[in-house]
Amino acid sequence: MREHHHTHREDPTAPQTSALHPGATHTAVQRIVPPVQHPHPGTYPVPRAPYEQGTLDMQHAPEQNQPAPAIRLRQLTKAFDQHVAVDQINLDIPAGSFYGLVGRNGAGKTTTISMVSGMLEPSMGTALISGVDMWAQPLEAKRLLGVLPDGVHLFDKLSGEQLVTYSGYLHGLDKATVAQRTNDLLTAMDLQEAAGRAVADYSAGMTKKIALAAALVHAPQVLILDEPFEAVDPVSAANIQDILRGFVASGGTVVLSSHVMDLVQRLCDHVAIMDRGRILAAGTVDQVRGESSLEERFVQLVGGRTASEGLSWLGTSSH
Amino acid sequence: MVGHLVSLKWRYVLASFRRSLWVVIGCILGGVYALAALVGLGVLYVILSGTPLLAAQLALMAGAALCLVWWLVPIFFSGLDDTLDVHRFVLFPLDAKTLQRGQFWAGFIGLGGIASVLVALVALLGVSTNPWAALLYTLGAVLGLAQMMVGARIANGVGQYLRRNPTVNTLVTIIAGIAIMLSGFGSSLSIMYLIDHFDQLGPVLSVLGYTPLGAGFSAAFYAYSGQMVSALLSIALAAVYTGIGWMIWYRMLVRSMRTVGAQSTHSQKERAKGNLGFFEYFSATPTGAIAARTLHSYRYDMRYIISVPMTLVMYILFGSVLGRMNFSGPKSSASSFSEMFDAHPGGMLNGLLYFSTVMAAYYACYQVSYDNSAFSAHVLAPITGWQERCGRLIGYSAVMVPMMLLGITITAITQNGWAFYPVVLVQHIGIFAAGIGVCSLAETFINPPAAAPGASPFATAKQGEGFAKQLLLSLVMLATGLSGLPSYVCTIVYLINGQMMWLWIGALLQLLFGALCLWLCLRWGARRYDRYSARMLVRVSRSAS
Repeated sequence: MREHHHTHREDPTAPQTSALHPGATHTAVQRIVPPVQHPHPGTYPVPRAPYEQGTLDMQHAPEQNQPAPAIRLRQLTKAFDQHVAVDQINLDIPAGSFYGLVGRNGAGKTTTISMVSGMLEPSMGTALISGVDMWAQPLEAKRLLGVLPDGVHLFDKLSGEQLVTYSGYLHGLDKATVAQRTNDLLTAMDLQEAAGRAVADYSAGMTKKIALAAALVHAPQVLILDEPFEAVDPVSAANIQDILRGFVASGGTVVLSSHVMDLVQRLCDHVAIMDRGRILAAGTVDQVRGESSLEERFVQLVGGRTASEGLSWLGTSSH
Repeated sequence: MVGHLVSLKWRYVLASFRRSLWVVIGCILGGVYALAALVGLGVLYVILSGTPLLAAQLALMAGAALCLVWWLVPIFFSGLDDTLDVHRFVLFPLDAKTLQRGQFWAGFIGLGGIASVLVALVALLGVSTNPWAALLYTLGAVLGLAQMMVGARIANGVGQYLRRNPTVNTLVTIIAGIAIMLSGFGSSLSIMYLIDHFDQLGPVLSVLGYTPLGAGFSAAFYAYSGQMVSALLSIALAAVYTGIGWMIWYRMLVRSMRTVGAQSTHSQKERAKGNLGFFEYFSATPTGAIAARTLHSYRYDMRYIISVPMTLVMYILFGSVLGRMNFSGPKSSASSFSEMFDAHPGGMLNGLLYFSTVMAAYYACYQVSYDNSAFSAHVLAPITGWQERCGRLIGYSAVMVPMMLLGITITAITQNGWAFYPVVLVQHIGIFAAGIGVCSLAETFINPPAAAPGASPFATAKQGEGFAKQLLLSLVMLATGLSGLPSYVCTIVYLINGQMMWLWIGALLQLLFGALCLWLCLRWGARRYDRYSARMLVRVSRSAS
């Protein structure tokens, strides 16, 4: 059984160096509070920082008579050297929801997504996809999941059509099914004309769309998208949003990570705010934002706004 | 501003040392090579000090060789150092003239530039018997070094232009790869030839001294030949060549500053919709798909492509060329590979090809490295390690096995070794099988640094883990080499007692060993993939440049 330790921070809002450090190796982290072993569902003695009170209650609703969440995270932790990128997060993402995971750059969103999707081993904790443990039963979990990761290469020497086909075959679909779904996806993504072109020659928006098509070809139950609209033009973004709404309407679950609060507020019905590796608030968008906008609520929770006197020399024609 | 640009290049060079230990090591090794070359040249000049004409001849040849290297390398190898490349400065209010001067002077900062200046200085010492000759050489060499740098920048631009065409790009890259492989061999042969015919080079050098290659370094040669007019003419020509080159470079720079955004990489040929390429020839399974995608990479990705002709050239070099070389040495019963081959054709045929087959297998451990973070597509998919490992192996073998067969066949033809062709073929199939098994397994433990997707195959990959990793990779290569042990042992026995039977015993044993090794390594590698594919992904993504 893995034992991991975590350095207890007195002030969770105290400045902390960035924990996202892909170059570092993962190691155990020092911790004062007794470590939590591999937990059983429903029993999570999670030490909570004061600011988490109230909002987290929404997340820990009674588990009886509730449909299994699409994703359940318990004590999920990732430490790189002595930096904790994701700090024992607990989160339930309801099935059929359009869930936003928001946070600043370096909050731990991508690291969390990587652990949930099987791309990065957690230091501790579990990630269940529709009740299937990703790290205990990876093949079964991966069949349920479609992922659009951020910042990764694609096999871009393949054409768009070949890439989606490849993804279909990797997910065990037969030739006829893959051919039909590939055609449908290329049409839905408006990539018919570019189907024969190498992905390396696609624009940023086209690349996102073809990657999304590759993530959808096997009809997953849960779709995880990491910054899906970054560098995407508004028209392509609107098309993608329509596809995602349709997916949720047909019973799928979408988890979308972004640092664009306005987008998440418009698109999502649930949201979790993440900062410095911890979930600060989670629930429906209306519950989390309260009377403010999601952006204002985020800034309230995260802090870090500095009053600026401005740059007096900026804006004058001083040259 | 020019000073700023030059100091920027200097600070960039210093920063690269701080970034990676391997840059320091590479620089030290390069420095040692350069120093050895300089010392060698110095010794030659001392030897020739009694014959100043020959010393001046050497100075001319050294200068011309410098120019040749500086002008050819940028054409074949993804361009010069791009620290002060146009695309970095296009948003700044910097004119072409300033940038040109900055690039010119910055070109001398770095190991290559410093070594080139030192070569000229050492040559100056060598030709200083007569002060007038020394003065003429100095004037010429200053222009010669300037011409060298200007020509290098023009070659850089030409190289970038040529590479826009995918076919030309492929061809140029393949030629570059083969050139690298043959460079040691080729330069040794060239040096030996020049040494043997050094005193006969006069007429050739007389012409070379007027060309852009030699004009800057020929003044002393003409002076010692008693041709003062030619000496002055060569200096004038060097000035003219430098001036013309400077103008051409300026025009190229202006043009590139106006078209930075358009200088994107070439596009692949578009395929018709429904054309699935290699996917149509394999089963619609994860294994078949991975095999098809691997083959696709060997068709379209330069980083993969380059290993194919290099493998074939290795077979030809070691089997056909080396196998027939004569070398001078103490008289013995076999004073050349050629004679040894005639005495023991089977053993020699086998032995000469070992390294080639081992390398053909070794390249298999680069596949996941080349995938880089695209490997996430495999990690995210519900595929087993067995499917993944087998798919890669099938795709890789579909490319490399024909190369191996072709290489052995060519060797048999050139060496007239048909009598041993079947047994050698079987042995090497066994060595290859064992080798790719070892490398397929090794890939789940360690991933060699490789150029990132889209980068030149010769681009330096980030080396993250230092000396320990390099040591491990050496062990992988050693293990790959040792996977042919049954064959080696039996071949040695054959060489001792001359009994053909031992070659066949070796072939059978190696085939069985190869099959067993392949099976076991695949099984083990598959289990490791199932457990540690996420760690493999982190490793190869981390190594991205």
